Amino acid sequence: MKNKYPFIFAIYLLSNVQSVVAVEQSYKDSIRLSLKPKECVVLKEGDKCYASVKAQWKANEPGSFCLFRRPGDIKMKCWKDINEGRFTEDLVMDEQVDYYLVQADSSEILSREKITLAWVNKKSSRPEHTWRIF
Amino acid sequence: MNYLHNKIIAFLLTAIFTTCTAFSFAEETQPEDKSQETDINSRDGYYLSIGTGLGSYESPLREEQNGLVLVINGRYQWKGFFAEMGIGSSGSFGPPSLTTLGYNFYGTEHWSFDALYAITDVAVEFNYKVDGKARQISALPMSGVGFRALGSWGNTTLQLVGLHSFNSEFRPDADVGYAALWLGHRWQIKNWSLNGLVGAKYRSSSLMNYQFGVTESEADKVVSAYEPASGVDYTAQIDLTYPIRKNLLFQIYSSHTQFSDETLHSPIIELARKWDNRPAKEQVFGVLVHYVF
Repeated sequence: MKNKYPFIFAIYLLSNVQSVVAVEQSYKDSIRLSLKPKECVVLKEGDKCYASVKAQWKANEPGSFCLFRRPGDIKMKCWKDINEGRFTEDLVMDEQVDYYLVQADSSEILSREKITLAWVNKKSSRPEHTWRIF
Repeated sequence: MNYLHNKIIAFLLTAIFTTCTAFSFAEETQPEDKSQETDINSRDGYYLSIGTGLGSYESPLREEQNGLVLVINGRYQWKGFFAEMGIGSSGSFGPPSLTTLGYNFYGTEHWSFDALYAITDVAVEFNYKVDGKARQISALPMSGVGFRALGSWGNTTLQLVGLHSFNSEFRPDADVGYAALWLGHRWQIKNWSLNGLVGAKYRSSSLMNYQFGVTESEADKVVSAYEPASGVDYTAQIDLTYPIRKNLLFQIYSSHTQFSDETLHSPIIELARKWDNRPAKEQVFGVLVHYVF
């Protein structure tokens, strides 16, 4: 009977750790990053696309976060002890661009969104309108 | 005059062939991967867009049109063989269609060459009355076989077309030639595209005569006989395009054509202008939305 208490204590500790992990996971899952626009469209493949990007994030509880942009993994903005934030910028893109939110004291990505690049006419040495003229 | 026309046609066709040969040689001497170039220039596949919107069209050649516009552009190419169709294309939405069949026989990084059969114009029709009797002078669209060379450097394009007609309605001894030169450039302003296009169309005297001439047998007390010389028409077109989505385009365009004096002096055109109060210059304006498949 004497050995019973450490076992119960271990189970108690384990359940607590699991609870903490579950709470932390739930907290991370609650963080949502949203982006506008989702897609940037150009007339012809290879054109640069101009977008007014609006990023917004929300969390259940306050925390310290930083917003990054890829390619380049550039830090765009950081927030401290806050549960929502906004960021806007005028972007010129020639490939897909990702924005992601990380906790300020770690490199773990909490939420990620992308802006895809689309075009109407694919790259060609001949413009599509040429047959219209004679 | 015919000597001059023959020289112009010969010069244009020679220019196209020379350009083709010169660039073929130049490309072959470069140590670049030819198979890669072929991939870049292959246009096998299809393109189809249907557009609608509002437009206005006024011309000395046809009746004024205003209102709803339908524009269809289609192209299909298989192993170099292609068919192109334009219904109500920009700059000429009044006329019904332009059709081309051909073979893209050579392409390099900057040049593309086609052998083709094309219908380049639309039917000209003039109806009037003499002593209470209905009369009509009409001509079928000009069609012919020839070559097209297209040069492309970034957003700048150059297109040369030379055609020789075999239309049986022409006099068998007539040299019926058509040639056109187009230069275009696209400027990107944010996500808008501003396209500028200037061009010149040459028609031989035989073609002019077929389209705008009046024979002695056709002449009456209203329309006098007329045999025009060759002529050159000049066109400038500008359009502003914005991609709303990857298959939806918004377009505003305007085109302006100055016809040759030989065309405007035709009694058919002079009378049509007088009766219908048509302008001397062709002007087209449109605001359209295109769906690109």
